[in-house]
Amino acid sequence: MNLHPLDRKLVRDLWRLRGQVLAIGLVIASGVGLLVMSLTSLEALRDTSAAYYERYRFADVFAQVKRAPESLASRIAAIDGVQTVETRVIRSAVLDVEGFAEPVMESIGLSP
Amino acid sequence: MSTPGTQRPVLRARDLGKVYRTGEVEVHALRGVDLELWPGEMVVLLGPSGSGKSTLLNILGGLDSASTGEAWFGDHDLTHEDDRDLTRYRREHVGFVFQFYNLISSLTALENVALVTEIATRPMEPGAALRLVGLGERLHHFPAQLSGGEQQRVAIARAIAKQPDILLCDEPTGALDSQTGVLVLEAIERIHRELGTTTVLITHNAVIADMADRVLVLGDGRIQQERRNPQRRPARELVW
Repeated sequence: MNLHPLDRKLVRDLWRLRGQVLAIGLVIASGVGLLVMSLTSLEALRDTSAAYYERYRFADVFAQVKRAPESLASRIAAIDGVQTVETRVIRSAVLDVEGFAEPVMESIGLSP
Repeated sequence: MSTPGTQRPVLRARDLGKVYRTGEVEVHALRGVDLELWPGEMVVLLGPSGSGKSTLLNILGGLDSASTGEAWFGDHDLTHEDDRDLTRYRREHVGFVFQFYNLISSLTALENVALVTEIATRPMEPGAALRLVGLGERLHHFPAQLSGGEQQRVAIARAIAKQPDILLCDEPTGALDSQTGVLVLEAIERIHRELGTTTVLITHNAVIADMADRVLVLGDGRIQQERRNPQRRPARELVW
């Protein structure tokens, strides 16, 4: 094979520096491996999270509105992508809780 | 060798000046140099360090540009050519030999020369160039396996393998002892004789001037003296 002198130089230089080339290759390979592993883990966590929300019907969005009549629920349910709408009235109240000397402020939700 | 009156000069310079600026400081490396180089002529540029020898050579070789004046290679005005044209000029017409050999350590002597012949327009065979400088037996040796003189002769072979019109040598024996230096000068002398290449040789060694057709003595950026040797002395007779 008739190699161009510059190609021969490249081959000889790589062979002369083979230890360093191998070390650099290993560092790059472990870096790429780590990146692939991280991306895979991230994807798995996202899938798990989505599966958990779906399985336990956990809400993706909690939105608060003021002075909204119950009839608005059907319009919210009509929004594209909304699967389920659950309405409730939430107010803060002061509660007596056993074991607490000070009054406890709590949000209480009441379903219609 | 051609002489004035019989042929056009290969290179000519008129009122060539070069100023290096570093902030507020201006250094005048060349101050109005007039010069003509004739086909087949061997010229030695003599002068102390800082006299402008290398600057002049770099401008004539298209490695540097002049601040004032003109330099012509045939019909080409070197002082007004862009980088691309100067690169073409260097590639097709000029061979350089420097004090340090600048060989590629991972290529053999033959491959170092072949690197140039790959891009030259009318190259000679790399082996022939090396044989011309007396390295026919060392074609496949790497620079580290060659002596300083042999490495310089590889550099000379590399410079002449493209059969340049002008060979510019900047202190080619500067890093060598006198015995090895003579071998290098013999190689330059042989190339000049057999290929008829116009040769300019920079040195601060006055003995080397004896092998030239013409000697230009530079000082303070000017040509202070010009003399013609009645007879060129063979390189092998030079001693310093």
